[in-house]
Formats: sequence, C-alpha cells, structure tokens
Amino acid sequence: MLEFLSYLFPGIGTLFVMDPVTSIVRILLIVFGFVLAYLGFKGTLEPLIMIPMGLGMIAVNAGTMFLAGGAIGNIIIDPLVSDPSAIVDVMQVNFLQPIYNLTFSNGLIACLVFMGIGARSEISFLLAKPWSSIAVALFAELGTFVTLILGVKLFGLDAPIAAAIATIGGADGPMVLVGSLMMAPELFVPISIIAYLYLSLTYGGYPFIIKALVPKKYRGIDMYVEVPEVSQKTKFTFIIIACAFLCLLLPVAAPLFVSFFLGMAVKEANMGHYTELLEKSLSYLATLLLGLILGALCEAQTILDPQVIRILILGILALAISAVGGLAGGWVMYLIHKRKGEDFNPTVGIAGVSCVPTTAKLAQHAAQEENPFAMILPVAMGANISGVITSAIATGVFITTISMVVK
Amino acid sequence: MEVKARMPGQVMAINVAVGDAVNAKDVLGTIEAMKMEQPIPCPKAGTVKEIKIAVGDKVKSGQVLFVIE
Amino acid sequence: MNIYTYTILTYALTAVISFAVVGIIVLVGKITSKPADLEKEE
Repeated sequence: MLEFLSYLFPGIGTLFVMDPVTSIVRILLIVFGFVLAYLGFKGTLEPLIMIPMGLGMIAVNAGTMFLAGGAIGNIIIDPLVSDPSAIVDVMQVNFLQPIYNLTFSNGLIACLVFMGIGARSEISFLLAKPWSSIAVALFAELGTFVTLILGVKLFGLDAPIAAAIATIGGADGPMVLVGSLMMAPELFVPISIIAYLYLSLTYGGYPFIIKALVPKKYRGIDMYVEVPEVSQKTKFTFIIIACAFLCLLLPVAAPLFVSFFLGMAVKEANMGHYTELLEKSLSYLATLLLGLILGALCEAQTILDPQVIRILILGILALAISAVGGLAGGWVMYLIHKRKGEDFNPTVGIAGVSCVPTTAKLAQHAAQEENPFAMILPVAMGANISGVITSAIATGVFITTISMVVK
Repeated sequence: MEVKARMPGQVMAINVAVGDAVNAKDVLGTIEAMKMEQPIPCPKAGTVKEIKIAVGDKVKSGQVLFVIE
Repeated sequence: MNIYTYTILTYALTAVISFAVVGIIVLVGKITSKPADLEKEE
C-alpha cells in the first residue's frame, strides 16, 4: 500500500527512496525556497530575483519523480547533461532546459541583464565628480582582491575558484555569473545563488556598517555639486570609445562590455523603442528567467557540495570588506577635499560597491537621516556607476589573467 | 535668489504660495527622485516671489523651482 | 607568480584601466565642448 502511494505521489515517494541526507536537504531547500519567495514578497529581499528563485527552488525540490531507467530527477531542468545529442533530447522534455543550455554557459543571460543595467545608467552623474567617483569605486573593489587571497591562503582553494568567488565583492550579479562560468564552472550554481542572495541582503546589512564607520556629524554633510549638462553627443562618443578601448584590452570580457555599452548607447541615442525594449522588456525577462533558473538549479543533489560553506563565508567577507573599503575611500576623498576647502560626505563611499542603485540610495538615506536636506544622491550615483565599470574591469582582468597564478 | 533642483525628478508637493514669508530651512516642496522623496529647503529667510513649477512636473537637475526675495 | 603579487598587480591594472576610462570621458567632454565655445566666440 505504501509502495502504491509512493508511486502515486512521487514527490513524496522519492523522499523515502533517496539517501536520508539528500532527502533532508531537499526538504530544507523547499523551506528555504518559501523563505526567499516570502521575503521577496515582503520586500526585504529583492523581489525581482527572489520570488522566481524561491519558486524555482521549491518546484525542483518538491517535484522530484522516478524517471525512466530507475533514475530520480525532475522534468524542469537537468544541470548535468553535457553530451550534445543528450542535450537536444532533454530539451524537448525539461521546460527550462533550452533556456539553461542556450543562455547560461555562454553568458547570454548575464549579458541581457547587463544591457538593462547599461540602459539605466546615467553617465552624467559620473561627470559631476569623475575622479572622486572612480577612486571611491576602486576602494570599494577591495573586497574582491582581499577575498582572492583569503580564498587561496585560508581555504586552500585553487586560484580560479577563489577568483570566481571573489567577484562577489564586486556586487554585480551578471559579473559573478560570467566570472564563475569562466573560472569555476562546476561551482557556478552555488556561487551565483549565494551572490544574488547576499546582494539582496546588502540593503539590510550595509546601514550598520555605515553607522559604524561614519560618525553622525559626518553622515549629514551636504555636497552641492553641479551635475553638468552633458550633451548626448558627448556621452555617445564616450560610450563607443570606451567600448572599443575595453574590448581591445580585455577581449575575454567583450560580451559584457558590449552589452553594457549597447544599453547605454541605446539610451543616449534616444532610440525610444530600443530603450524601452532594453530597459524594460528584455531586462525584466532576463532577470525573471535568471531567478527562476538559478532556483531550479538548486537541487539537493547539486547543492550538496562541501565547497558551499566556503563560498558562503568568502562571499559575505567579500561584500563586507568591499563596504569597508568603499567607506575608507569615502574618508580619503573627504580628507582630500577638505584640503581644498570643499565638502565631501564619506558615506558616498558605500555607493562604490556597485549594487545599482541600492547602495547609492542607502548612502542618501543615511545622509538624510542626519540632515534631511542633504542631497548626496548625485555623487553617490556617480560612484555607483563607477563601481559597475571597475567591477567589470576587475572581473575581466581576472578571467584574462588568472592562469598566470601558480600557488 | 533661485532655488534649483539638485536631482532630476518629479514634483510631488508644493508647500508654499506666492507671497508667503519663509525662513531658512523651511520645506518649500518635495521632489521624488529615483523613488526617494527629497525635501526642497529654503536657503534663507524671505518671501516667495515666484513658483516656477506645478505638482506633477518633471524637473531636470539645475532647473529653477522657486524664486525667493 | 604567487598569489600576493598577482593580486597587487591585478588591483593596479584594474585601477589603471579604470582611470583611463574616466580619462576618456573627461577628455571627450572637453573636446566636444571646446568647438562649441569657439563657435560661440565667433
């Protein structure tokens, strides 16, 4: 009778057939999926990613069944299929398989999201204080580089794997996706999921770091900046020159660069229909599918890798150190500006951690709490966009050169 | 003296009328920029001479919002 | 190359390229506004 029931409801039946650890993890992941989706619903975590991810996670871990040939799995996605003819076969059954196989390992989905980010990046903010913005962004990249060392020295990881995890410190989802696909492909699932999870959490955690490192009276400093009226011609010229320049230097990251700059270019060239396409339809579609597939990849069997703990620890370290680094950069800029008799709010430093526009808004919130009239958002946005550029460059540099490291 | 917008956004509220006496740091209005509400402070005491915007207007960075005597 | 050297070099490289990119935009800005100023003077 029990056997009959377990065949009737394979989702539950498979729980008893699999080894106990896997079954328990499956249940935990279903619960975790609930948590993510619900927190996304409440707005504590980024809903655009967390709701599809949570649901994907639940579906994949609950909807397990007995497949042909005695295997246990699901008809949503199979992350391990690699032989081309097997892939084609499986794409006709698993509903997310075609999207996974055709947009993940080649970075297409990351590039589509990145196009959306480019289409929303207003470069004139960068021009308000260009050198301070980029300096702050470089300080905020500290987490990435320190975590690379920690990964290799403290956890004994191979350089490429450590580098892939370290990109989490760049706080840029698509970068982490591409970085881990190229440098640590077997671990790209846990690395990406943890990256997106932590990036959602920055909203909750960063304010504490800001309060700890920037005393009240400095948080409220106001900065009167002129956001220069930059002609679209200027912006467009910059976009195409920068794109060529970066692709020449780091061809391995060319797909990312061209996507980002295409997004920006479309916005500056006033191509109404294209802008709407990239800014809205395409980027939301890509984000939805990204979240859904990442969740669906979180199957108990894939996730039970001992490296996951290391990724969890290194990931949070990367983002924490980046925050500290960014704020340190904010302080350095404060001192430099003070010498010139100008104001600079050190809180802007946190915006160098390139979670656009979350960290810029966090900086503005923190400043407004102490001084309701403070308006540091323009400078913070400049630092934010610089952060995206530096993260992209850092990831590109890693991918291009990581083979030069010998432990 | 001109009170200018410091971020591009949309005018959410205007709290004064032409002829009102205002003091430094009074909130003249609110602008919504990047989904955040920003109060527009009055820089010095005086009288509202002109209000150059209406609720719902989209404003650019540097655009004149109020003129205070 | 050991990991410390590598990290410092890549950090430096990232910094140099980043500054170069900002340099490009500042330059482009100056070049595209200079002809406009010259035009105005005429």
